[in-house]
Order: sequence, then C-alpha cells, then structure tokens
Amino acid sequence: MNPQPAQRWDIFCNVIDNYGDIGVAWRLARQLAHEHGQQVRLWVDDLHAFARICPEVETGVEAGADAGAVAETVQQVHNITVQHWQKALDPTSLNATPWPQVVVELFGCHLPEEYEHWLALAPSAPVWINLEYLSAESWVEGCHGLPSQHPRLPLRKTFFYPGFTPRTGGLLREAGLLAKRDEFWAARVTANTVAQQISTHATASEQIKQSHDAHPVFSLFCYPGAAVQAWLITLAQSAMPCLVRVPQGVAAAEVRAVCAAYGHTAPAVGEQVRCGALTLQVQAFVRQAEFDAQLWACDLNVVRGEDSFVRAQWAGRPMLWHIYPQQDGVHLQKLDAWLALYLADAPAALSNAVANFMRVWNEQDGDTTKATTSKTAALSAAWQAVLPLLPAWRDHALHWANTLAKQPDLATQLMRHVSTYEKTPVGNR
Amino acid sequence: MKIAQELRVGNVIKLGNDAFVILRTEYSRGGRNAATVRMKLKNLLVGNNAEQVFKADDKIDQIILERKETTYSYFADPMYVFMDTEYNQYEVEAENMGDALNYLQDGLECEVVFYEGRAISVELPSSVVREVTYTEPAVKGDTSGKVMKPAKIDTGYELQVPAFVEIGDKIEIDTSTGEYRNRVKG
Repeated sequence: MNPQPAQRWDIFCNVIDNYGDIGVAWRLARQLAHEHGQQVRLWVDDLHAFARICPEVETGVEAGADAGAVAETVQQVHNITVQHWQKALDPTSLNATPWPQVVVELFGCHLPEEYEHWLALAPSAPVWINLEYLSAESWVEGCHGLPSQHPRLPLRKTFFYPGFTPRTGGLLREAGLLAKRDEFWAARVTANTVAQQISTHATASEQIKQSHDAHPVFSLFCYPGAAVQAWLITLAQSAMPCLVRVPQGVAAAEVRAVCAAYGHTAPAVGEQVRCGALTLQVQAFVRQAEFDAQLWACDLNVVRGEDSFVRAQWAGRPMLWHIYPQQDGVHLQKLDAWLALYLADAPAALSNAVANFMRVWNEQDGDTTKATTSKTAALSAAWQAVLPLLPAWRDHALHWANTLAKQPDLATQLMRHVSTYEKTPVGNR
Repeated sequence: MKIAQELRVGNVIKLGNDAFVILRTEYSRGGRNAATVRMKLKNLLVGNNAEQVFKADDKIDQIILERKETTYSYFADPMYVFMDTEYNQYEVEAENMGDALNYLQDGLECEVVFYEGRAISVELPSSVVREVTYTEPAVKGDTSGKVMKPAKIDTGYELQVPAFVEIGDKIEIDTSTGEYRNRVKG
C-alpha cells in the first residue's frame, strides 16, 4: 500500500466558515498519513471548527498559547501532527523543525510570508501545491497542473484542481469506501428481512413503528435560507409521511419556524417532533468518520459546499447540492456545469426533474431568508416532479458513483504528482 | 506592483529573474468568490512561451518599460504595424499580440511597449466598444442580464452577452477579462 517513501507534508488550512475547509483538509491529511504512509503536519487556524468534526482535537491550546509559541500549539491526533496556525509565526521556531518536502495550501489560502521566506532557504525546494476549490466547469481542466512561479522567491507552486473528469485531480476517496458502503447496505437488507419475519408476530404499536420506519428518510445538511424552509413546509403539507434528520445547529432558524407553525418548539438533540406529515429529528453533530453511514442510510441527502457534496456522491443515493452562494449568480454556473456531468447519462425525464429541483433550490430570488409563497410553490412543484422518480434517481446515483470511482482519487493523484515533479525553471519548460 | 487580475495583455512582468510579456489572460472565478488568472507568457530573455496561473490577488511586479501611443495601421505578415503621431512605424510580431488580436481593428488606439529598444507588445485600453456582428435573436421581455448567450464581433471573437443584445448593437468589452461590460447606446 505504501510504494513511495514517507515524505514530510505541510498542509495549510484557513477556516473561512462552516466545516468544509477543515473537512477536506482533515480527510486529505488522514488519507495521506494512513494510506500512503506520509508524515503530515496540518496547520489549522481554527481548532474549534476542527474539534466539531474530530472531538479528539484539543482546543484549549488555542486560547492559552502565546503568539509564536509553536511548541505549545502542537498536538498529535491520529498520528497526524496538528499545528495551530497563528498569524504571527516565529521564524526561530520554524528553524527548529525539519524542512517539508511537500507543501499544500488549501483553497488558495495565503501562506505566511515568514514561512515562504523560510521555505526559500531550503536546500531542496519543496513541491508546493495550491489545492483549489472543486468545480465542474470546463476551464478547470485547462488550469489543472499549471505552474505558478513565485514573483520574488525561487519557489514555484502547482495549481491542483479536484474534479470529475480524467483531466483533473479527481475526488477524495479513501480505499475501500465503496465496499464499506455496500457492506452497510447488505447488512441493512439482512436486518430488514429479519424484521419483516418478526413483524408477522408484532403488536399493533410495533407495526405502526415499523410502518413509519418504511417511510422515506432524508438528511439535511444545508445552508440556511428560504429554500430549506420552503422544502420543509412542502414535506409537512404532503400526504406522504417522511423523516428528516438534521444535525444540531444546521438550518436551526428554519427548523424552528416550521415547528412553530405546528405549535411545537424545535426538538432538542436526539429528539423529534411531528409537523404534519413531516417528522423532524435533530441529531448530534457527528464526527467525520461517522458521517458517511448517515448518508448511506437515507433516501435523499441534502448536502452543501464541497466536503459533504463529495461524500454524498460516493454514497450513491439521490442528493441535492446546496451550493455555496456567490455574487452575480456565479454559483448557478457552477451548479449547471456539475449538473451537465452528473445527469449526462440520465433519462431525460429524470434529468429535467432533478436539474429543475436543484436550480429552484439554489436560485436566490426575493427574500433569501424566509420562504415566500412563490418560493414555496416553486419548490413544491419541483419536489412533486422529482418525488416519483426517486427509484430511478437512486439507480442513476449509484451509476454516477461507480463511474467516478473509475478515476484515481485525489490523494493518489497528489502522490503521483509529487513523485514525478520536475523542478525545472518555469521559463525553460 | 499590481495584483494579477489587474494585469493585461501586453504588460511585462517579472517572475524571479526573468521578464515575461503577457500574451493572454483568462480570468476564472473559483469557490467563495475567489478567482484565478491563467496567463500565457513569453519569456523575453530566452523567447520561450509558458502558461502559468495565479491567484487573482497575487502581487506581481510589473516592469515599466518605454511605451508610445500609437494607432493600429496594417498587417504585414507576420508583423502588425503601428504608427505614432509622428508617422513612425513600429512592428510587433504576430505571436506577441496575444489576445489583443480579439479586438484589433484599423485605427485602434493602443500603446506599443518596448524592451531593450525593440517593440515587443501592445497594451490595449481597459475596454473597447465593438459592434455585434452575429448573435441569436433577442429574447423579448428578458432585460435582467442574467441569461447569457454567445455573440460574435467583427474580428470573429466570441463572448457571452445578455439575452437582450441584438445584431448591430455596440457593446463595451473588458479587455483584461474578455467579458461583456454593457451595451452602449447611440
């Protein structure tokens, strides 16, 4: 599993908001360390966000540490060195550490100047990679792998783009992920078969519970806004009972509003309330390693950003992507680019319904914080169109996951890049 | 010093010890309102071409070279000829024209850039106004500017314009991004 020698990697993660930045960074760090045997030091500027997806991370060092006191801000988590990235770096502390052979700046975060100058002194220039945002747009293929000469230092980095096509860097996917998913499903089938045999002798109340368990289950990990509220209202007013699982703190205002409309307060963690046909269940925020099983267990996953978006695709289940909103509707172009790939092999009826559902969800018109009547009507119509197609969508989602899995994963492609990197001057290529 | 997204075709920049003339730029918007600029560059010392990509806010040293205000005169394969107000002519290699060719038409006012006494490139104004020579018919009622469609100008350059733009309309184009800015009345 480890044909290449261990190299020292420095991965820099600037947490801008939410959990996508650290989610991707932590997943990459783990895969490089555990599957490829690399020595990884992960620089993170927000340990609190990190601790939510990895409770082993101690955040106490963040509050008590002096600026530049690097030694006090280092901890080992799952055989990975976690370094609290403080804005003021002490060059003397850098000099006490060995040179990295590979440096990754995630999502275009700017490395500290002191660090760049320190790198420039290395006896052998490191392989420096700017790992960019995931996008399905065609320009990504043209930029993937291009160099970027530092304007003033003898350093050069490579722009590395994750993506969905062979001419990109691929997607993060641990070894055996899809096999684990399939084992999970096989175990559930066995359990359901046993449950069905038992149910012939079940009491009435047990039968009602089992009947409810057979209703569709959806997971909700989205950004706040009008769309989610409109969808929850639609589900509540539907004739079909369903269960929506939402992590604590996600779309909290929207959950409260829908519950209030039915005379309830929002459920506490671990509890659920029924609003019309909709049962809302609030769950504890799970660690990253447990997130996949939640996706595998649901009939549709609403996901967001980048990390959960990728995991939902590997889950092989119907999914809705709540894309990070950007100025001038740029996010809609990115959504359409991905839909074009995702739905390329889908039957026309499914393609139209799924694309429309995602576009209606992501379009920002009018009030973006509350579900207006028109937003609810549009989303309700889009949902009604897609609902009967869930079985076909499920087949298609599995096909899409298996198609993507034919490409090498992102960590493997990074390893290949590092091993084949030529340190020739840019102008002499 | 300029940030990468401010640099334009014809600018000369310094990377390490080398000087490069920018032949083409392509601006792309990434996630979370971040952006990158892909550049085709020509090394002025060794003559090689290279493609590089920068973050839009990367700070890059621009080399301020001698330049003269000129107008485009004619093409004498493989050189483009520009003339200043004193009727001096300057020739720029076709290869060094880069994306300036997308907007070039007789009388275009631009600056010829010199490196060690040699005309090496042209710098365009930040925007140019051009007539749309072909596009699909306008969509009635859609004046939002959100729905885009392809359009061609007389050089053959194609860009995305709002659905309401028609053949014969004059549009302002940002020469650093190649993108539509607005429709020009009159």
